Amino acid sequence: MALSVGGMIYVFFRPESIMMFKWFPFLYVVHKQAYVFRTVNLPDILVYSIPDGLWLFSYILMIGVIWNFNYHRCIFLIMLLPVYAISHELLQLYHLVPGYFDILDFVVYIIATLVGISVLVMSNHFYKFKNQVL
Amino acid sequence: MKKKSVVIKLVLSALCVVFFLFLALASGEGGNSSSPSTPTIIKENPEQDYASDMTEDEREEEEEYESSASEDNDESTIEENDTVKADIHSDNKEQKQDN
Repeated sequence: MALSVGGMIYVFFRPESIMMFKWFPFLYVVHKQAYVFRTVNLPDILVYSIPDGLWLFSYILMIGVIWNFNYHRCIFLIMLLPVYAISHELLQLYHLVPGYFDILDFVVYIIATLVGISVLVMSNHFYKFKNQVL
Repeated sequence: MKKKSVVIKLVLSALCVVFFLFLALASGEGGNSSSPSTPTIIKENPEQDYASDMTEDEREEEEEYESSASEDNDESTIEENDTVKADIHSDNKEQKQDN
């Protein structure tokens, strides 16, 4: 769900220069057809930062689902992409990787990671409770 | 049996990581991996920006220089016109005298 929303924001609202339009021409066609959406002025955080947060959030949930919400056993895997994303953003701050540091991206990454792990922890408790009851 | 399920989970996790890295790559800007959230400022009129960067004194100096340069140009064109007129006049005189 989160991934779909993020993907739709990318297809409908982002500029044409992103790689996915080159790789998947049918998405470019959809993007062109949906020009009406781009006439709406959405806040930058919603178009540029939130999809990245949703991407990270859905990754954490996906790993959690694969490991039956047993986050203790897969914490290394869970933290793999959040650490990558946050460190990439920080390296941009020191000009060690190409691109520009954006504080909104950084904050959204941290919030998405915290929310994702919180949802996993709650789901784990719910899962255990359900198993005890049944 | 338990070992097998762990291996399956690890394989699924690896596929998941690859898929999400692919998504990250696909959502990147083509040819430039800079963060799109930082707007790029495109200078449409560089001369205007140059003028806006100048201090007031510099701007006044620039205006004075431009106005004096235009005056010089006007004067020089007037002088050129005068000399041309004088030459034509002298040529006409010489022709009359020859006649």
